[in-house]
Amino acid sequence: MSKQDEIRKELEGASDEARELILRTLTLERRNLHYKRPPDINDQLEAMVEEIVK
Amino acid sequence: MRLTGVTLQNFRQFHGTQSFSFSHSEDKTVTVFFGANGSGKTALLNAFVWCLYGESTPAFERPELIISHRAVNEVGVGEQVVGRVTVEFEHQGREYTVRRSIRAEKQETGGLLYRDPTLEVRFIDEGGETRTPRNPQQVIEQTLPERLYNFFFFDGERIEELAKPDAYEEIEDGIKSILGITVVERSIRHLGGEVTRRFEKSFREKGQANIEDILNRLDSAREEMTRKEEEKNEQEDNLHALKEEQKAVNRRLRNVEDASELQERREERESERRTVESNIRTEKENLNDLLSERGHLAFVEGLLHKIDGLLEDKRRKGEIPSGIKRQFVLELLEKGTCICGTELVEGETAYENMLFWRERAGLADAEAAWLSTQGEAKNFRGRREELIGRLDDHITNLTEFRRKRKRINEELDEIKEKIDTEGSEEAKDLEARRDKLSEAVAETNRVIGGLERDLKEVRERIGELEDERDEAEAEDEAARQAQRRVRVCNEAVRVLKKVYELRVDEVREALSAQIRDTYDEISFKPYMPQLTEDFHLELRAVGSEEDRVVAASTGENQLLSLSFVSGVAALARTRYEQSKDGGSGLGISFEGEIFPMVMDSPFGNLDTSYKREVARAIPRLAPQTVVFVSKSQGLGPVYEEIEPFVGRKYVIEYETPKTTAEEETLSLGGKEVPYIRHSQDGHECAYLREI
Repeated sequence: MSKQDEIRKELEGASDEARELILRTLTLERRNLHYKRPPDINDQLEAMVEEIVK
Repeated sequence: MRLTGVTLQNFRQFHGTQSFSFSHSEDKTVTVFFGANGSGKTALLNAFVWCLYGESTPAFERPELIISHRAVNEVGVGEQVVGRVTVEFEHQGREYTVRRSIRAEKQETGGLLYRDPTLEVRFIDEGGETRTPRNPQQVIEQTLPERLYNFFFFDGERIEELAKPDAYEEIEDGIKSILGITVVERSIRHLGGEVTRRFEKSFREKGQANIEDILNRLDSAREEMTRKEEEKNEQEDNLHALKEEQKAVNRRLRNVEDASELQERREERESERRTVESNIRTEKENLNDLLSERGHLAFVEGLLHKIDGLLEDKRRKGEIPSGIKRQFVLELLEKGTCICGTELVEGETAYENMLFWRERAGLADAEAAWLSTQGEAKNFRGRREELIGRLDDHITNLTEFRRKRKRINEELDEIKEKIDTEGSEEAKDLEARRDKLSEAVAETNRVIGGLERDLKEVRERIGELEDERDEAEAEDEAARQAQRRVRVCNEAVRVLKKVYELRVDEVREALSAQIRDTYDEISFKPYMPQLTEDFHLELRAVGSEEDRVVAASTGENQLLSLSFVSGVAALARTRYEQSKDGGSGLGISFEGEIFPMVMDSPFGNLDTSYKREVARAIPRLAPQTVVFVSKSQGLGPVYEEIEPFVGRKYVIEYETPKTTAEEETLSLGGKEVPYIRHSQDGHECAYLREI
């Protein structure tokens, strides 16, 4: 099994909420990566978790 | 990022306004610049670095003198003169123009009063509108972060630095950033850190009091971990600074006349010692693997001996071989007739004999088991002998490597003794400083080791407390909600950690293969590059049973570094194309990027055969390649190899004020163009001409 397939398997094995959180967190982190003074990532992530896990 | 053009204005020896553009067609990816030594090749490389980052490469002398000397002479006292570089490139469908300028005012003394440099970035967005971002440096960071530029804009004569141990951290950081692993690392850190803590706090405030204690202890443990991590980072920074100072002291020792030769010898020996120590580590690992896999065989001799004795005893008693089957005897007894026709009557001799054979035949199963045991014993004996032979080999190798290390250490002691006793005062002072730095490095390493042990312990404690916390039940709905959020965060972090491990493995394997392919193509040595688990770039000997690290020469390190940089660029491009195609299909993708490669004197210390091989590989190193070479570096076999891929070529016409210097021309493709010529106005200048 390729590493890509293993990654896919890990993600498929996660709960829907955890998977959504992972994908949205990665997108957010990628966007913030190059900001010298990015907005508070923890605030953004906290709001995201609250939105996903009602 | 695809470079389209550059405009220089009074930048170093490039007087006035001069522009050039780059080839970026699919099949002509190379742009080549020919220039004599000192004509401005390194200045051109630095035009990119200065424009994009306000920095310069290590080989760029007097970086503060940006503005052309001739331009300075043309203005009067109190007048201003400007130096400027404009770089144009395409990135993710947008066209960017980056312009950095510096102004200076001429003083009565003839000197210049410099103003702060200014940076301006413009791009045309998807709607066709021109935009001027308020934070231009950030736009450049998003395109190619400053900490990564030296992977793609580099001085070929210094590129071998990447293959040296000092660069491992830089390599790891670079690979992770370029290939999208950093975002996973950051996700784990943020989601598993502060965000989880916030929900735990909410859970604690709203939940049962009985988990209060667990969460308090968890908080304390995490605070302790953060403190230790900060302390460790501080010590690592300290270590880095000490090592930098060590390098500076070594450089100075190389320049002290009476210590120069000794220092060079010492550095060679130290490099050999690192190789030997790596070999010792490999041997020890092999020995450990062998012992854990087959070590038990060393202790079976007594048992095998006992089996031999028992078998011999059975044979002597005639119990084996039995020669007759029990079922056969039972059938004869039941029939009441022997095969010879004798009647078998209970109580008579024939019957008694048959009973004797029944008992003998009863041992047949045991006999089979004994024979099988005998076979196994023989097999064990063979494997035991093989084990002992291999152990001997490893121990011999270890002894030889240790002897070699001892010899090197003795030689290093002698070198030190010589500098201490026979060196000049300056050499002795530097040696004393070197000693102090070595002690400080050793002490810092010890402190870091202690902190790593502490961190391991506290991380284990946190894991246990998290398990305890997970078991605690919350009663009210708000607490349960907070608890669910904590659990989802924990699950996401657990999956992300797994993804991170897989991703790192995948990148390391793919990159290793890329590096191996390129290196294999350009080197004739029987060596194979390898990116270790710790992202150490090593050369290993191949073609024999002995797998060992080899001490690479400067030339081999250049090839290794070039293979590495090209591997990163190739992998980044593959990822970029994959991510455009939708990545893994689950919405998770690891963005790569298209990067150009800009190289000053990439054939540095290589001899002719290597030059040809590297030149052959250059068009494939990156989607776009810019090369600065002198006539001696770039003509002949090099140009023959790259010519089919050259889309644009320039010569740097160098005007020298030295009237006794010999004028030179460059002959290329049937054209002859000036290369070095005398200056008409007594100023040193350089002009770019497309050939």
